[in-house]
Amino acid sequence: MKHPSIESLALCAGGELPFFQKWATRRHVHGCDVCQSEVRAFLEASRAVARETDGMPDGVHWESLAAEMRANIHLGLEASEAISAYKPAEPPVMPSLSWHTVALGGAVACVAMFMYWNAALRKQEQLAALRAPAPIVVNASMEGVEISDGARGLSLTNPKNSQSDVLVTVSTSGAAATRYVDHDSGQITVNNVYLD
Amino acid sequence: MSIWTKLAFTTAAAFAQEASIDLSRGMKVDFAKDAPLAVRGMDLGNSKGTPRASAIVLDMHATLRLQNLSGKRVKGVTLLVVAQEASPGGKGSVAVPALDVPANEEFSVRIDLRMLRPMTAAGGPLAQVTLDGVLFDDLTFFGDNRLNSKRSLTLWELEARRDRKHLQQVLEARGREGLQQEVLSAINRQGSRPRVDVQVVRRGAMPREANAPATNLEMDREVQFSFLRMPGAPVDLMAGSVKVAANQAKSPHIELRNREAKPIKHLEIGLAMKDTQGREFLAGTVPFDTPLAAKSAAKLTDASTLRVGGVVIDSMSSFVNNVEYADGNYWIPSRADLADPRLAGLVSPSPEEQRLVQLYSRKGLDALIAELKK
Repeated sequence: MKHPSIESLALCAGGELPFFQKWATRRHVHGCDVCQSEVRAFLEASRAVARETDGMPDGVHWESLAAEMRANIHLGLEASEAISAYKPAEPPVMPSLSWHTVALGGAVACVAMFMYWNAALRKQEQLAALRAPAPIVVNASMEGVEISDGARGLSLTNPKNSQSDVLVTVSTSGAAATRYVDHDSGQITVNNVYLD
Repeated sequence: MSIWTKLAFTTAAAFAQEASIDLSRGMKVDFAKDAPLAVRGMDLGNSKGTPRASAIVLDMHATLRLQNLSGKRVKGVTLLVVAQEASPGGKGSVAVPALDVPANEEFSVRIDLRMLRPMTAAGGPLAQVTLDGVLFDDLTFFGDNRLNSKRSLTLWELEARRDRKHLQQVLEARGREGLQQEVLSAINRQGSRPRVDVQVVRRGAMPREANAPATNLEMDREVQFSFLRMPGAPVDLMAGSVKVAANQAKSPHIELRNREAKPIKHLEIGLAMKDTQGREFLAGTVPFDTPLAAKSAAKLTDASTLRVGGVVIDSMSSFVNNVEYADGNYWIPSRADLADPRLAGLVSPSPEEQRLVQLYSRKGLDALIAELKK
């Protein structure tokens, strides 16, 4: 014969088993002396504990404890009412702007936007110009005159011993000139390049 | 292949390329049959070709020996130099002003030409030299005048006569010491001119300088011209401005008025720049080729851009440099017009003054006096 576990007998003694388990366990206990004695022992122990814990412990006065608890509850209630009665201060109301202040602000914003747009446009134009194919440049220096597009070039150079006396000039018509005195012959020579 | 073997092959290839260029026939000199000058010889000296990647650099150092066949004294010559495959839409010229070559005498013209052209160029001469013009002592001219050589040679000759006459007068009035002082002032003026490189682009933007950062974009600012007035100038410059950005001056425009009772065919305005260090110098010239009627006004506009190396432009001024009238006469500043030291420092010295100063520096005062007494 299989007996219920000791935990089941304890729970059965306390009346805490589910319905079907309680019915099955009671049916077994009813016909089993061993288990009846176990259940009886659990019941007696339970009653003994209840007797021992009945009444207040020594040194504890229920009346004073209850008065203290009531005072705390009242304090809590009053604090709650005080918090619910508090209304936060309303934000300060900004003074309304006059029409000329608004107009001035708008004008400043327009000028700033225009300046930004203008600068951006000119920058864009300059960048576009930088990306454009290299133009033909005429150049005049102490060394001579040159016409070049970066890939091809034609130069008329001054002799090295005459470069200290060179006069340089360009014309906006697209011409450049250098003029030097030939140290050997004493002659003046003018080297020119011209754009077509 | 070792690095030495590669180097040997590269060097051999370079010599082979150089050897393949026949520079003795690289320059063709072609004067018209009726030209008053004849070519008596050409020396190509140490001319050479140097390969560079897929291109070749040709350094031609030619000395032409020309003879005056005209019967008149030659005062100036301009030779036109064309190198079709090397010049990107342009040409060159070599002019020799301040000459005084008697009839039948020979003289030399030096042409130092450097070209960068593709390696695979077609055959034929590398450069062609023709006679653009010759000016004689009676101010008559011969030539095709494709480069307006008549005007430039005549202006140089008029300046030469003005300056020789001035120095002769100084010698006569103030003697040797006076002449010496005058020449020393000229040497100081020439020596105090800043040595600057100038570039010009007629249309479009100036390409970025080699060492300029890519983000270095200066904004333009409008600068008003100040005008340097010469008492004898036939044209008044009244107003004008130019866009300036760092070392560039763009799109100058000037309002001008003809003070004379005769029409003007061409005039040239000098543009002077002052940099942020206070140095002032002639940066370039602006031509005005529109006929200007007597007593009338006009507006000069130009789309070009000038760039001067190594300076930051602070202000700009301008003056009338020379004028060609419709009747063929010319105006140049007189010595009295150039009495203002500022103008004297800005206007280019004449080729004759440059030559005489060089003669004094190399051979002394006696040689200069002998030259002035010719």
